[in-house]
Amino acid sequence: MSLTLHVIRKDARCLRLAWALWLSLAAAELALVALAFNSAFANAEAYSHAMRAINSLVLLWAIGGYLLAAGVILQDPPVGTKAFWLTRPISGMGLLRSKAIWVFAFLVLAPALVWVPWGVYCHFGAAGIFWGLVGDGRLALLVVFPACVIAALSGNAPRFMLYNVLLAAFVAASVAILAAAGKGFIKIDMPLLLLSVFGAAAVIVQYACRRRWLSVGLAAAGIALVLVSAVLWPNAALGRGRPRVTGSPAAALITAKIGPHRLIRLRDGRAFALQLFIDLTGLPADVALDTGYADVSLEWPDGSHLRFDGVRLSTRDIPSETYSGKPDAVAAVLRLPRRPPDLLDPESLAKFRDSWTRGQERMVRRDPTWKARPVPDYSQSQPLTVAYAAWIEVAPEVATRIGASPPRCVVSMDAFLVRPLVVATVALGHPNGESGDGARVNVQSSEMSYIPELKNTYLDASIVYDSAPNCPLQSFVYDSRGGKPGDVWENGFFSGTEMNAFPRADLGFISVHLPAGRLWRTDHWVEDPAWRPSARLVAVTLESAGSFNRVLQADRLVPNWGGEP
Amino acid sequence: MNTIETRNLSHRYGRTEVLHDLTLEVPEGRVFALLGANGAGKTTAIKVLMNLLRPSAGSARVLGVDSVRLGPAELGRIGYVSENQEMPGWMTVRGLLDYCRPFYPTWDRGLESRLLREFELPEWRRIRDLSRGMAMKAALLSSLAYRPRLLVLDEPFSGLDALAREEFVHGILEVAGFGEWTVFVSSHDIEEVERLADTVALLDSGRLSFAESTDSLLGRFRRIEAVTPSGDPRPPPGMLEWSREGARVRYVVGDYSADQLGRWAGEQGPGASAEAVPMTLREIFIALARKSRSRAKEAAL
Repeated sequence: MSLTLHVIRKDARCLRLAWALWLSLAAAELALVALAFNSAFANAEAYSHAMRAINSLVLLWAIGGYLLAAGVILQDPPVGTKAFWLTRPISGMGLLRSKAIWVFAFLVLAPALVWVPWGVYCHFGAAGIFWGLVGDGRLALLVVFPACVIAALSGNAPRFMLYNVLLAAFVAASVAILAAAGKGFIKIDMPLLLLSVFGAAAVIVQYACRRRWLSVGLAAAGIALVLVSAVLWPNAALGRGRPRVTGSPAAALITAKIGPHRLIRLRDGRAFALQLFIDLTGLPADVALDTGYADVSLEWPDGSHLRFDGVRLSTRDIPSETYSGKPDAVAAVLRLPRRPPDLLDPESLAKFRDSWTRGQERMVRRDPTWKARPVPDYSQSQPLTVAYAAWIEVAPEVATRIGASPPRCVVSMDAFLVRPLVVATVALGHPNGESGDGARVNVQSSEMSYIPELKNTYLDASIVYDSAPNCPLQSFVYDSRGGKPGDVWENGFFSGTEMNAFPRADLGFISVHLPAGRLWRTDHWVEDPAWRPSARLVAVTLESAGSFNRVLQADRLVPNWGGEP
Repeated sequence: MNTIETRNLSHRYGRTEVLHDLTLEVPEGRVFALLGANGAGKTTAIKVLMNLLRPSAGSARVLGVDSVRLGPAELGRIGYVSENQEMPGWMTVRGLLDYCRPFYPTWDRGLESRLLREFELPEWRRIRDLSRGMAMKAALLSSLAYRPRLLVLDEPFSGLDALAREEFVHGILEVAGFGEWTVFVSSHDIEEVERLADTVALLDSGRLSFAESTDSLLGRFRRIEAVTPSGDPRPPPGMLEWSREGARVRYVVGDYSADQLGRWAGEQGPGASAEAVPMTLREIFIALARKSRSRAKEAAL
């Protein structure tokens, strides 16, 4: 062990300047984040620049980490006959141990530790900080591990660069091949696992017995296996890796059925994709839908069938205007956006159709090439929650066959439920911040950015936020309360993460519109009587609320033919 | 006991065999020189001995261990200096010694200090900033200070000026004088080897021509300078480099004996005389190399 530490010290001495410079990139990123969170930037544009700078730093950091990892391996390359260590009393495995510890300590753990003070400052809690460390470490590992494998197999800098060029060409070719094979959705876990196992095996073989062609062969076999498995493995293999969550009591209340809208999409006049809708009802009020997977089987009377496994189910829109959990936020509000008009009475439905038609006519007047879309076939019989859509890309011949001879459809689905939780409530009106429950949110400015000529009645609020890895922020809700406790008027703003700062993937900056508190009346502004000066922004996360599975059947698919998606 | 033994050792690079059936023994305590022209296979032989390359056939034992099984225990008793070795150029000389020291339980700090002084190495200069001679001396120092039982030197004199060679040889001779240490040196620099080696072997196109003690080699090779006034002198069997200018004849014999020379001179007729001139290792090497080249040309024709 003392020799292992001795080699580690040697590498640390050799690379100390480069490493310090590299680590300072992470520190600089942290400093910029801290500045952004503490009102150091004057306006939204400045924030935007700061976030771009952070992303650039992160890119530099990733490249630097890649080169540093290669550098530490190439200090004592296990390839060739000229390396100094080869004739010194240290075994290949001993050297590998030193290198592995060095890479882990200096390139994986150290940059993750840089962010610990930030987690403490943001009150992410011990669990949040720990999982943040794990997440950051995993991302750093994604950067340095390939560099270690390639460096261990190349042995010198020029060959390392050559192998990188070959790898880049391979990745580009793989993407093209997968696209050609129609593999639009591939779970990355299995290829990553295969690459990791074969890459590690290649490195161990190289250090243990220095048989380069055996090691390169192992690595190449791993890469080939990934490609072959991605192209040839049935989708079922991909579906097996899907996440599983324990059942939820709420799941018992849910009913699901294959909806009436089964769409076959057309492109250039040829059918190419089948879209199934799955309708869910009985979703508890405090629960929202997350993603899901389904195995879809189409069966024709003559006994022939087609099977599509691991098809991803996606919600057409994630409910955004939802939150619950804070002491005075008594009501959980779950609404599906783009509310279908079947909720409306016949008069409202007629208004909707009229509005749609006029809107399309307006678009045609504005742009003669615009093709007016027909009014969506909403009806009152349509279920309330058309929740899931399953897209299955099929050959045009298959789609045509489905249209000509509608098959029986069996769907075995797994769906995941989430529960919205409020993690921070920030008062508006002046720069303000809030941290706790795993997230830190700062409203940097709420400024009038409207142009008077446009009669814009909105403010732009600049929000900087970060959240612990187990607490991703899903949305910001504008909350202006009435006089009666428990009354909530919410105005939802879905956030996502507009600016993803790697490796802190949950760090983000967003600019949202807020009611300005004034209205334009013919030729002058008046105060908005509904304006509540005590308005707040509520940051919402989604916690897992279990899962449910069902087997659904439709005796006969009745496809509608659709146009361009 | 032999420090190094090889049995029918061969090594191929693809289809090219660069070492063919090498069988030799290096007894403990000897300074053994492996000579040969460029491309003769000397470096390959050493790389196989050091487990840097695997033999294609045959076997080698170093310090009693199969060369392919050489591990830290054996490498802790072997010093290796090669012109091909990549030194950690970013280290200072002091840093190099500090780095190497913990690997060797037998490291002798007194010897380190003495050699550092004698080699006049600048302690705080980076290896990459040293001259070639200085860098080789630093490598030698880092391979001597733990008193290895076997010191392997691969072309150590390449690119060194006369003074650097002198100091380098001096260092090696000093090691050789320390006790039962074995030095295995490969070189095509014969003058330096002659001063060092007590046993030499010649590698010719991957094949061993001979391996014997320097004294024996210098004893059996002679340049014969003869005067044969009458008749057509007949070359003796096995001679090398036959040349004749009128009555004067010169050639080299590899199995000199005064009786044999006297008999040959007598066979050349009345008035013939012959004198045997001792040869240097360099002259022997050149004579053998020319013989080998002419044999190769004949084979090619």
